[in-house]
Amino acid sequence: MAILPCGVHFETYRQHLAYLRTRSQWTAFILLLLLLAGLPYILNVRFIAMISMATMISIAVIGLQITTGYAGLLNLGQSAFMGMGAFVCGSLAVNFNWPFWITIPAGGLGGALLGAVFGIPALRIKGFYLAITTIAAQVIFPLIIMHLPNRWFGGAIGLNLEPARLGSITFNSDISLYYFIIGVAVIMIFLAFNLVRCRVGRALIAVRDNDIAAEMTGINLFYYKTLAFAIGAGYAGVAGGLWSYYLRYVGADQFTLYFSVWYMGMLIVGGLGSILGAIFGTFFIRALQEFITALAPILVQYLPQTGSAAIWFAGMNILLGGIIILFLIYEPRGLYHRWITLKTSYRIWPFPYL
Amino acid sequence: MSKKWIYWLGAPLALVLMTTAVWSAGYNISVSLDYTGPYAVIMPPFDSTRKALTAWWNETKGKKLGIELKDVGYDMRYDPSVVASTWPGILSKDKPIAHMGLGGPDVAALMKRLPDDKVPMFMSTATYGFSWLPNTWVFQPRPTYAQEAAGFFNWVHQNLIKDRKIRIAAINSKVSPAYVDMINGIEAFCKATPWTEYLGVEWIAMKPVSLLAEVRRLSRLNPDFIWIATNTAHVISTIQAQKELGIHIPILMASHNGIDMSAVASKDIKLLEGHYDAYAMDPGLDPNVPGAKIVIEYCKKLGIKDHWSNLSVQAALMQLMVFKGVERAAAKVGPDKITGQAIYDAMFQGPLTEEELLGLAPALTFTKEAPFSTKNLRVKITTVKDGKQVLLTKDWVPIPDFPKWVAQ
Repeated sequence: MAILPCGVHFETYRQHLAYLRTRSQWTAFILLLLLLAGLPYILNVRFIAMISMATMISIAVIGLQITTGYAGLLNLGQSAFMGMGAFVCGSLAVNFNWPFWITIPAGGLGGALLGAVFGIPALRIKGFYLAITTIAAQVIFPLIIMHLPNRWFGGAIGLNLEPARLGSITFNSDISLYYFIIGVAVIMIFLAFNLVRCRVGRALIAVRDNDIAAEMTGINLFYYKTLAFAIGAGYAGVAGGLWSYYLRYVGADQFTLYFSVWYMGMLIVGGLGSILGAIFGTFFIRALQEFITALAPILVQYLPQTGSAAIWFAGMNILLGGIIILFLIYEPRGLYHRWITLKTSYRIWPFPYL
Repeated sequence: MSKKWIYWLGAPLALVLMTTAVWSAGYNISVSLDYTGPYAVIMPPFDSTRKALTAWWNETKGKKLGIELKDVGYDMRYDPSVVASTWPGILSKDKPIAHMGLGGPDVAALMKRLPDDKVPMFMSTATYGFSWLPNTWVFQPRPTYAQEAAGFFNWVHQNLIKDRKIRIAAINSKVSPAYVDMINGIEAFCKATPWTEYLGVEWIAMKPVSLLAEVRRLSRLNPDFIWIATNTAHVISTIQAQKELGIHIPILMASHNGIDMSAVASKDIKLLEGHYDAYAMDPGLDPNVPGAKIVIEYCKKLGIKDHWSNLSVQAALMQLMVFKGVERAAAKVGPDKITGQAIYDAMFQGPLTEEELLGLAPALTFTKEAPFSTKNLRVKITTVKDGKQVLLTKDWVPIPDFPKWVAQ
């Protein structure tokens, strides 16, 4: 629980447990929502597309945070679970013409079911061994898609979707898709914040800290470990559903191990064990990627003396890797820890220490 | 005080005005690059060819039309999420009249939105069955991989195996839908073609340790050819397995894992003796093809290294299609009013001749039914003879017709 300004006190347990407890917190929250609503009027469409993509990915990374950060179960198959969600959502939209408010939750359910299946071994194995079984999910996923009848998930052809619609609104422009994604993300983040504070969240943290001790206190390990995978993969499935409406084409090769590794990297950079950390990590890594994507052509244009564009483009990858390494060396607890330190420093200012 | 200062000021001003008069219109062509993903190795020839051909077109055709084209590259990492999030920025900042894509991620991320954005995309890979869709705003100079292979088997039917069925086997991988689509395509071809017999496929991992068991199994079926259109590792492993078994079954490769790429990967072209590759473009062996001459000349002019090969041909074809689109659009709507829509419309104005494509591809006739030209499809075939890659025949070999295997 973060420290509060002097004089702030609560008279009920409900008030004490609330996420937004002071007027200034409510003001900041409303301002944040207003800012999110107003961003398309302030920023260039390039930044809006970047935020949409980062927000979509952050939902999958929040899911990974629940499985790995809160329950302590290594998962390198998050991209496959996202893919499952995308295909389930796409299939229901294409084959049954169901609206997005059914297909996206159904995509989450599809991801959750696949996640639960791969979560079952978590009862017996831990750490790197568990990570290997989740890599199996990544290998098996495209085979599942390609071997099932084409009318289910499109097989090797993939699925072509129509844009999501809500009444007369069609989500087919960068701005409308931004609002669509932000809307779903707000719901998913709200659910995640509450999940980790409820009985299930506390059980997951207990399992992470010491699973034998957790079992001794009456926590059903099989149930909670499978549930952790299911919830985490469910988040990935919802992200996959959004992905399918964003690109409107879903193919099995869009969800590779490469992305699962990136998602894990985003989690570590953001900070394990916090929902905000997952969001920070995703936005930080995506912003870095976008920055180097934009910087390289400028360097090629204004510094042509190197003779080859390859030097700048490849150099950008080294820069990206270097920044992440430096970050992990100097802030191993992630961006979330830096954020808490910053907030605390602000609250106790001008005193340097607590 | 003399009036010299008038000349000092006037001369640069006149130069600026002259330049403005010459370049009445400037347009951006955006390009997907991959310097940090799986295709980083093919970027040097793509880069040099692009620079050379842009310089050539601006200096010759562009100057006459009063148009200057500029290509703006973006490293998309061969990642659809990067393409999807970068594209809106490209649209708003560069306002491209055409985009040159590199492969699957570009298609996945942009295919659905290009008709709304009114920007045609040009690519140079062969097509896949699943992107064989109408009205996609994607233009590719080559048909599907299966059709390119069919062109080779047509040549075999006409020249080598005339009196019986050609027995075809394949080695492929299930890691990508694109690969599975290749097999679906060749199965459809064999089903529709009475002079072929499809024996089956060995599905393998992308980086196999040994293919001895798989090649032995295939060899028991007595295939005339093994078709491998996945990667160079599969080609080299299959040849090594054949050597261990003491057999020789000719392999047919595609462009991206063809003879030159497999020779680079194995560091021994002799290993590929008696094997083949076939694709619907010039294989980049002859530096006297008009397109090659121009690229080599302008690389020298610009002081950059030319890497003339089939990779350069692919890069050149994308650009030549864009150039022709721009020239036709300029004639129709005027050089200062060219838009993506005008280029898109221009692509359907009639065939792009082999001469217009500088001898790098057969004539292409685009229709709205498919992203590639479906008429008069042709391939060129190369093989390794006495340790040297050579054209099997100088002429383009026709691809036989067979039905589309993907129902959309």
